[in-house]
Amino acid sequence: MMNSTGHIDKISVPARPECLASIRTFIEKQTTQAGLDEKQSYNVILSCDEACSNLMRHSLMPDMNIILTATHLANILKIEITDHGKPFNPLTYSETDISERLHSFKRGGLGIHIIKSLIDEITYTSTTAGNTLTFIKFINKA
Amino acid sequence: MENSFEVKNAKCGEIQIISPCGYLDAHTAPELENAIRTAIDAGEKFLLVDFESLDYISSAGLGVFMAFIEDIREIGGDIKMSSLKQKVYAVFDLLGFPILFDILPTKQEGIAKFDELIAKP
Repeated sequence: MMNSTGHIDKISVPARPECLASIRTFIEKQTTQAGLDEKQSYNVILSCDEACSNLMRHSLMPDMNIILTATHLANILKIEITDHGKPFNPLTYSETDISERLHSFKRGGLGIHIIKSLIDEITYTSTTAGNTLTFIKFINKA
Repeated sequence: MENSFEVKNAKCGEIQIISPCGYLDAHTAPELENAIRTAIDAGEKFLLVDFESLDYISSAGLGVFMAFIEDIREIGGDIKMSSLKQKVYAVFDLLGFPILFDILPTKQEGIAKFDELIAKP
């Protein structure tokens, strides 16, 4: 069952590619605390890397920040990725052409395909307070 | 996770062996891109990318190969890959790369695959 409250951890990093390592370190700390196995941990780290890389490339200026908030619940790890740049909802990005894109050797859209494949639940909200991409990873503890 | 990354180069006959080491992401991908571009500009067209020392890859890293593969195949060359760790291979597999690229278990098998290509009349 999902608790209504949980331990929360937060980091704010500049939207610069050299900060991706700090983002991965933060997420790895969260996945370790949550008890995810190595493969699941890698999947969450990679998905957050992809989401933040997309923001750095398409939505944010280098002097803007990305805020990552991790919430630990009983059987869930929730990661919220918040920015204050140009809204972009990755969930609306068409996946129907991923195979076509690959076969024509176009780079775009690969990260979104990865995220959708590896994260259990994804939501996106955009308000005057910012844009937030939320990842839910269910924790299957033995 | 550290973010160290470097690219090592070696030569085996006509085959250029490029070995990315460490963490390949949107920050470090340009370094690999430069290494491949430098090799192609120097006339190399048989590129074996050996991943034995690569611990992490994101789509930015995979995109590097897509940028070059068409051009290099047009001149009769290829980019082949070898020695992927399971967690790295999983990303390639997720994106369907195994149907686009030759991915060999070891560097030696990658070299042998190229030798077959080079030996063809």
